[in-house]
Amino acid sequence: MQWLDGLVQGVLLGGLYAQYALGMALMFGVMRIVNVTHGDLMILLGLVGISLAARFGLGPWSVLVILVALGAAIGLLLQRVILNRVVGSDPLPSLIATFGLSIALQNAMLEIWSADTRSLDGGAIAQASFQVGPMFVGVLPVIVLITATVLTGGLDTAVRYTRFGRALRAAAADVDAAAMTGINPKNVYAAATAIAVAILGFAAVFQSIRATVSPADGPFQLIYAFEAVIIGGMGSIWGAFLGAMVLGVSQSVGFRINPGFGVLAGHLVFLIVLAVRPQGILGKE
Amino acid sequence: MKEAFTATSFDAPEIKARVQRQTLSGMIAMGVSLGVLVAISSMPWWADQGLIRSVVEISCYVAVAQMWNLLAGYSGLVSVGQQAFIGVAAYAMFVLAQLWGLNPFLAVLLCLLAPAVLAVPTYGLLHRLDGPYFAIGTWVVAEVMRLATSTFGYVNAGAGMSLRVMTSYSAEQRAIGVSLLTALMLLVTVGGSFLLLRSRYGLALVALRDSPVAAASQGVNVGRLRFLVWISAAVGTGFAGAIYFMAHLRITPPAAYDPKWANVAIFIVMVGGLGSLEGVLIGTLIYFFADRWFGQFGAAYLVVLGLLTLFMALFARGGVWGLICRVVDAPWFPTRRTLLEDRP
Amino acid sequence: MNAPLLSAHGLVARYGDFQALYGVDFEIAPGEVVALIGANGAGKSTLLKSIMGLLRVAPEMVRLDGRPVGGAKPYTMVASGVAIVPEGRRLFTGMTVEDNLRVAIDHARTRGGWTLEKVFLLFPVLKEKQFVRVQLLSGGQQQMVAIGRALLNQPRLLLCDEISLGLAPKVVREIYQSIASIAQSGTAIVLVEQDVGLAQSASGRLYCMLEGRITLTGRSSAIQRAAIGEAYFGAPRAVA
Repeated sequence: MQWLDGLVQGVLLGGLYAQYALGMALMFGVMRIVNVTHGDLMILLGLVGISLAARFGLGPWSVLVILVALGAAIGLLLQRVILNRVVGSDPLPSLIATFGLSIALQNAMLEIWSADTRSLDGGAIAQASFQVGPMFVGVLPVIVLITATVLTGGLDTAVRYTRFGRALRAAAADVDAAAMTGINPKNVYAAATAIAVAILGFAAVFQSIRATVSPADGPFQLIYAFEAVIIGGMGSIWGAFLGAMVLGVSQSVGFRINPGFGVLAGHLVFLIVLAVRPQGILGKE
Repeated sequence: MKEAFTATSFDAPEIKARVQRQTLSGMIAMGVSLGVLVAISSMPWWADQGLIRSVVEISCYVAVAQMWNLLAGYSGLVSVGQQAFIGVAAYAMFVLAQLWGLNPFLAVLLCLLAPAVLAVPTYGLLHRLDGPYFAIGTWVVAEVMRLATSTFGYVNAGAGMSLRVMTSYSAEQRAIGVSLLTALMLLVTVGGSFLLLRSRYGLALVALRDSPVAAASQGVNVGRLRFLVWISAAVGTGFAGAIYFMAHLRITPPAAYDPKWANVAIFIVMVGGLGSLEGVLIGTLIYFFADRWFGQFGAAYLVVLGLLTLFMALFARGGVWGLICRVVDAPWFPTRRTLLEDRP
Repeated sequence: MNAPLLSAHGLVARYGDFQALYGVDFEIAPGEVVALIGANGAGKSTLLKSIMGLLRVAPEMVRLDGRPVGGAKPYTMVASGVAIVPEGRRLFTGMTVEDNLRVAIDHARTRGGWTLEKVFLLFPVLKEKQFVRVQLLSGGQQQMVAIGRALLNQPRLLLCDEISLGLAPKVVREIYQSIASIAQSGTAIVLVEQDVGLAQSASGRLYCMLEGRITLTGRSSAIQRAAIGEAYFGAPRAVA
């Protein structure tokens, strides 16, 4: 019984992690860049959302719309100002640049918002739950899971079947050849980053409602996104989703064994996957 | 088009050439370095406690940064989890000295086995990951170490340990021990790096840095070289960690596995100059004094550090030393070989 | 000729410190087929890359419709009507034949002209292999995809960089037959070729390059083999 509950909660947690992982998978797939500020941007959006809600009395859905739009804008800005300068075969500059930015961002948020943890009032939805058999399942986590599934499916479909998706895959395969075929790589990159950070807008709202956000949390979210992508398999969007599920379940089950063991259990599962099947569950050889 | 090409021999003049490795600036720097090492070893006789602590701290930063430099600047291995080795070495040292009763100064040397052992499976698991993913993987390893240590009752879990055995030594004895170990650490990490870079392995590393494929085609065993550098860097980093926490007398998991070590190493190397020994020394001085003078401003000061790292990564990848090099060619640690002709 | 479609004037190009082109003059009229021959390292691919914007050159050195376009980005050149079948094909691995072709359609300069069906008529084997990932195709089939991809950009000028390289003679003949069809539709074509006979028979005019310079130019049918030999390899030089 405990285990079933752990499983269900884990899948729901996975829905949140999937929203971190999608953006990371997209950016790495197209530009081979890992944006170290990925987690910090989610926290930033969360803190902004909480402040806006407090200042203007906004409900969570209004905040969601604002944060997704803000996320897209931030993504565009980040790409044009910083990331465009460090795209290339050498991974070091993009890593160090985003690493430095991450430190700056965390501390700037600390200055502005202080280290207090904050959360967003989710209203009635946050408390509601319904009964499934012998268990009670929260409404909010189910919404999170459904959102994650829709986002993943949508992104995957777009990448496979749309003009934009083809341009993305072409730029990822051979950026020079893509330019020779009429694609402007900078536009493709900007769109990818904008989408990645816009998705974080969803995650920011959900995380703020279900738990708390504080300026120093960013690195942990980054690690979860990264682990989800590796477990699920690089180069696969549904892989990111699946990896997030595995991570969520691992942490949830670990937590039920011992409250201090949750996150560590996730790390251990990650290391095991790395040892046994390094290309990930859905990854190609 | 009808004439065949005929081969004719000709006498090429024989050129006498020699390879110059040392420069004037290098010899001066060598003298200064030896002087510094002697000064550090003799600190108990002329420096006060505060100065000794500062020097030990700076030296640890230099060592950790230089090890990171060796990894990122020469081997193409970017790590943001070197704190894993700091913590594991420090904890091993505490266990050896406090729990097993070994001589603490000896323990600092023996504990280096721990980071070496940790380095092996770490590399095995992570080396197939692409650059940025490798980096975050190292971070995960550090986190695993921190979390595991926090729940490990033998080392007192989250409450940490104190190095009470040190009370059985006088203040002067402790100072001598720390000073000598610090000097040894600098000799091994900085001096060792210099020797490595001057040797044929150093040439191989530079070739590796410029083009791994080309280096492999010239017979450089890329995989093995990277692995050896990884282990050496882990040991060097651990050495600094053991000394740092021995001087502090107290260790806890969050302090031992603090990501701050990675932040500092990256800042020092990127601001000072990636891929140069001189850069590490310059960067450490910059960091140390910035910390002393501006550390009081707390988070705002760290924002500046972060932005500076970002700026250097974007616009000045050679760091401060790189900028200096554009103006003046006077390396402190010459590793280049210059071909000179002996004209009669 | 009147108003060439594309021309290069005193084109100079460098790879870092290494100079690859030393003042090349070149022109091609609308609908013409011009061959570019020369030994390895002569600068033929470099010339194409300079035209396509893959190498930075001074703007006035390359003119399209009389306008300076030197150094323009490759995707701008595509929008202006130039497409390239690059050295080494550079297909999008991991994507199917159809997707490789569709990318070109997505970013074509205009509608009409070449379509997926017309490309399949030109290269029937591609229709069978439509949904196969390109890395699984043979060299000849990959070359066909590369040509088809360039065509679907609806170019007025098609640059072909060593399209016969590494292919069996029978396949090369097939490919060059398709080049003739393409030329008939009015597209200007530059053929970079190492096979001199093929180049002469497939083109109306040819240029020969050596060490970054044009050493010979003229009507393909009128040039003598001996002259080509000298222009290709250079005049015999004294050794001692």
